[in-house]
This record gives sequence, C-alpha cells and structure tokens, in this order.
Amino acid sequence: MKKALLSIFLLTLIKSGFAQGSYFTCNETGLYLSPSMVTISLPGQSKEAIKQKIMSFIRERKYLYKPFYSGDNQIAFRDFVKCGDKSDCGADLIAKNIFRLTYDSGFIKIRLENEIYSTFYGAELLINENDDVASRKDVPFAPYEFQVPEQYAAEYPEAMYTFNKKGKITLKSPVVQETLLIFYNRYITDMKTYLGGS
Amino acid sequence: MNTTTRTALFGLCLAALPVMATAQSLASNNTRAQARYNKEKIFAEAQRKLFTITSWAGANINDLLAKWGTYTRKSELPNGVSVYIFENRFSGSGGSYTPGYVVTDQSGNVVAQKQARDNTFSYDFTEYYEFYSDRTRRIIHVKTGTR
Repeated sequence: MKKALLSIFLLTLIKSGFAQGSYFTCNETGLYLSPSMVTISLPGQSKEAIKQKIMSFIRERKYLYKPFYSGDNQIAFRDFVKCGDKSDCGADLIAKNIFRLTYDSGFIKIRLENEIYSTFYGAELLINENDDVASRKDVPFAPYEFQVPEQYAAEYPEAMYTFNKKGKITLKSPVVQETLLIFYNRYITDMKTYLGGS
Repeated sequence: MNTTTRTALFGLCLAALPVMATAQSLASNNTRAQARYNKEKIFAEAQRKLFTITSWAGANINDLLAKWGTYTRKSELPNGVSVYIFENRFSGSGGSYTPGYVVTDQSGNVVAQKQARDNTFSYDFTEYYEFYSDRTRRIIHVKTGTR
C-alpha cells in the first residue's frame, strides 16, 4: 500500500515538476530530447566567442571533446557517467552521452545521442576513445531495458515499464524515471547557466 | 486398493500440490534469471571483441600498419582525414541437392514418389575495418562491420 502511494506521489511529482520544464521525454521507448533539438539563444555573442565558451565548458566539466564529430559549425563532446544508483534504481545505470552542439552567432542548437547501460551484476564499465563500452573481466552487462515483459519484472528490478501479453504497458518504477529525468535535465540547465543563454 | 488407501493417497497428492507449485515457480524464476545472465554474458563478450579492435582509436596509424600490414585501400576525406580500410571477403557454398522421382505403372498410376530435397546454400560478405586518421596520423575513429 505504502509503495503504491509512493509511486502515485512520485508520478504526480514527475508530471507536475517536468510537464513544462523538462527538456526530455522518458517513456517505455527510451529517453530523448523533446523536441529533438534544444536551442539556446545567446543574443549579441559572436560565433568565435561561443566556440571559446563551449570549449572551456568542456574542459571545466571534464567532458571528452570528440574531434571526429566536430567541424566548422559543430562541437561534439562525450560524457560517460553513472546516472542512477543501485540503491534507488535496482542496478547501477551508466550513461554514455554524446552531445553535438551546432553553433553560429547568437545561438547553439543541442542534440544528444545517448545509451544507458545497466550493470545489474556489478560490472565495472570501461569506455575507449571510439566510444565503445566493455566490462572489466567481461562481467555481464547490457543496454538498459526501459520495458520488460511483466513476468520478468523481478529479474529486471531497474526496468521502468512492464508490458503484458495484451500489450498493456505499466509504469513499474517512477523512481527510475524521475532519477533519469533529473539527471538529463541538469545537462541543459548547466549548459544554459554556463553559456549565459536563455 | 481399498478405500482407506485411496483416501490416504488422495490426501497425499493434495498436500503435495503447494510444494509442487512452489518448486515449479522456483524453477521458472531460476530459468528467467539464468536467461538474463546468459543474454548479458553474450553481450559483454561481443562488446569485448569490438572494444579490443576499436581501442586503436587514439594510437598512431603507423603502429597499426606495422601490426596489421598492408591495407586493402585508402581514401581521403575533404577535411584532411585519411581512411585506411582493411577488408576480408568470405564467400562459398555448400549443401546438397537430391533429385526427386516418380514411379508409375504401365497404366500411368503413381506407385511411388519422392520430393526433391534442396539444402544448398551460398554466402558472400565482406568484413571491413575502417581506421580514420587525422593530419597528425592519430586514429580518431574506427568503424567495423560487414557488407
């Protein structure tokens, strides 16, 4: 009963807290920017000044600059970080996020390619310069499953949704949803604050 | 079998039902847990193979060429990036074809027949590894797959 009430409370919190302020959509299909590109307005700032700001942002936050995806009007960087803890989510969740920032005088457009990994068996994940992920000693791990069949709910405690044979989808873990939304929204607010945009 | 024995056996079966149900449930739970483990183990091992090859990213292309030998072909991108491509082509065929037959008598009635069996197969694919290196000859990206 308590669990059900907590779930309803969290669901309400998510809906009210993020309905207008969230930059991301998180549902049974995944987590993505909504709309697919977020624009930060930087009126009066030159293209070169914006470029310098982005580069110092990457350095200060210790993200990894990605030259392969960068060019004259685009800067890409990667972050590989824990985005959900086992104690709240049922398994440690690790995010691989590649942000592509297209910029010109007065604005930045942000796009994101992300993959979340679940380390239910306690794998320590490694990432190389090519953005490929493996685990130390090949301990099992896998991309995070946003939804699982309902009979697998116990085996996937971190899964956000379950679905039954009739195709009915149920939110199983609002805590994971809230955790991920808070985590990802923080990127955009942090970028806006640092770059001084709106 | 007398009535007393029958009743005792029936009672025993009834008493065993919850135990059997629990055992079955435990078995299927274990199967599901094992299924998850196996799936993630296979994924981790596949990722390791990819990881080992793509970990050349960051190294000097000369070191790769010294180890891998001559590349299949090379191309230049407009932004000054060189792409060294290694390809391995795999092709072949196998299996067998057994013709069928129909046996008829003098009146044309079918007395025996067998369908032809075709188990032949063929394959043709190319495994490729593309190493992108910048002007400083540093490998900045690795792509691999089949086509």
